[in-house]
Amino acid sequence: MSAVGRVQQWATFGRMWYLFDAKWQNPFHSADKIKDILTGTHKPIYHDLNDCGDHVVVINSSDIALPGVEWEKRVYFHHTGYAKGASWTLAWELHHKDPTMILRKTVYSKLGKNLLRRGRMEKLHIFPDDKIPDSILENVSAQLRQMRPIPKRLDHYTREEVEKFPKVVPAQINLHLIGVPHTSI
Amino acid sequence: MATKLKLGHSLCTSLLTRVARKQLTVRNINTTASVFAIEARWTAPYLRDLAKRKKIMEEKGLFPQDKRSEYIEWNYDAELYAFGKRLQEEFEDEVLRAALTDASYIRQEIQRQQDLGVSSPALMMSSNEELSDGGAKVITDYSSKFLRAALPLFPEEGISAVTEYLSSEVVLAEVGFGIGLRDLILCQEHPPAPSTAARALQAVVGALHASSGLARTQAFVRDFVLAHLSGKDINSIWKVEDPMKVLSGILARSGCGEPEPRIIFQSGKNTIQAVYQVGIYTDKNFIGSGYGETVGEAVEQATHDALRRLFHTTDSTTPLPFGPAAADLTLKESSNLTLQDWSLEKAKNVVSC
Repeated sequence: MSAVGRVQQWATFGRMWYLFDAKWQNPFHSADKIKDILTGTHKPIYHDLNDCGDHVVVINSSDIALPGVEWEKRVYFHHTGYAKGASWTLAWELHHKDPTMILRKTVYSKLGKNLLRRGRMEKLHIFPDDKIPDSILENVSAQLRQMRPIPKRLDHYTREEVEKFPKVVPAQINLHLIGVPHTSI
Repeated sequence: MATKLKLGHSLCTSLLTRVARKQLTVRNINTTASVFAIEARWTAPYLRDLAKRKKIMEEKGLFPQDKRSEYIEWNYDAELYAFGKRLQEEFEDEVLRAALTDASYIRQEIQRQQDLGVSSPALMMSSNEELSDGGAKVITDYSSKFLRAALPLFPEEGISAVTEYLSSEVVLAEVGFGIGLRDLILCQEHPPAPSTAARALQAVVGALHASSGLARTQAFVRDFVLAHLSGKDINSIWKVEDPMKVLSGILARSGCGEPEPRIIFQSGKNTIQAVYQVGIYTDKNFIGSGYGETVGEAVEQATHDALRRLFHTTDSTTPLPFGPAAADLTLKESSNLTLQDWSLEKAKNVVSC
C-alpha cells in the first residue's frame, strides 16, 4: 500500500467524537440519532462486520424533557433475581437517582441485540451537566444538531424586551405574569 | 492430450492409485460402497497427504517442473512462428531465434558436444546479447520520451526513476513471462531465471526493431512494457526526499511565500486512533492537504499532496494515454524541468498535450 493509501485508510476508519447537548431534548428521539452514530450506519463504509461506530459525548442529560405524562407513567422494571426481588421505578424517581440513566437505558434498548452492543455502549459518554473532563473534550471533533429548539421562557427575556413587545390588550395592573415583577407593568 | 515421456512424482502416484482402485473393482463384489462409488475411509486422508507432500516439495523447489519442450510433439519452429502471430508482429525467423537463445544455452551445448568427444564443436547459433542491448536502449529511450510527453510537469528525476523501474529486471521478467517466453527461451536453467527472461524480452524488442522498424517497436514497448504502469501509483515509484525543502524551494523560486502547515481537522486527540488533517497554505492560499496519525506525519503527507498537485500527478489526473489515444501523442525529446529549476513561472510555459 502506498503512503497516501495508508493515511487515507487511517482517516477513513478514524473515529469521530460528537458532542450532543441533551438540554430540553426528548431522550427517545435523541436515542434514535445517537444509535446511528454509535453503530456507524450513517457512514458509506458501514457493514455488519465493520467496526466503524463513532463516539458520542452527551452533556446536560439531567435537563432532558420527557413528553406528555412520561415522567409519571413510564416505569423501569428491575429484578434482583431473588424471590420478591422485582421492583418498579417511575421515570422521575430513576432520573432523581441517576440523571444519566434514562438516556443510557433508552440508547441501550435501541441498539441491536448482538455481541457488539456492549462495545457500542462504551462509546457513549453521558454527563449530567456541561462539566466534562478536558481529556474527553479535547477528543471532540464535531457537534450533533439538537432535535428540537430549546424553548425560551418569559423569565429568559430582559425587562426591556418584555416592555417593548407589542401588546394587543394592555396588561392589567393586577395580572400576575411569571417571572416579571408586578410593579414593572 | 500430450503423451509425456518423463513421469513426475505425482503422476506416478496417481497412476498407482488408479491401478489399485481398478484391482478392487475387478473382484466383482457389488457391495453398497462400490455401487454408490463411496471411497474407502483411508482414501481422502491419503490424497490429502499426497497433496501436502507435493506442496512441501514445491516449496523446496524439489518438485519436477513441467518442461513443455520435453513433450514428444513439441515443435519449436511452429512455436516461434505462433509467437509472432500471437503478438500480431512480423519477426524475421533467424533474428527471433537468436533473441530467444541465451548465452548459457550455447555454452552448455558446446560443453555437451565436447563431453561426447567432438573436438571442435560447430554450432550455428548466436546468443541474444547484442539484441538485448539494442532492445534495452529502445525501451529506455521510448519510455522516457513517452512519459515526458504524457506528464509534462513531472520533474525529470521522476521520469528517470520511472524509466529505471520499467527497465528493471522484475518488471521485464514479468512482462516476458506474461507473453509466454517461459517455454520459448533456450537457456541452461529451467524455469528461466528472471534475469534471463528480462534479457530475452529486451532481445525480443531488439529483434522486432531489426525486423519491423522503430514505429512498430515503440508501439510494442508501449503496449507491453509501459502498460505495466496502468493502475499503479506513479508517486510511490518515485518519492520526493525531504518534500518540505523541495516545496519551499519551488515556492521561493515562484515568488510565493513560505509554505505554512495548519491543522484543519482533528479527532480523538487523546486516543490511540487520533486523526489529524493538515492543510498547506502559501500567502493564505490552500495548496494541499494530507492525513496522519500524528501532526508530523500529516504535515509530510500534506506536503507530498501539494507537490502532487503542482506536478499534476494526483489520483484525479488523466490516465496515461494508451491504445488509440497514444497515437496522437507527440514524443518529447527534451528533458522536463528538474526539481532544482521547477517553478510556477517555468511550468506555465510547458505545453501540455
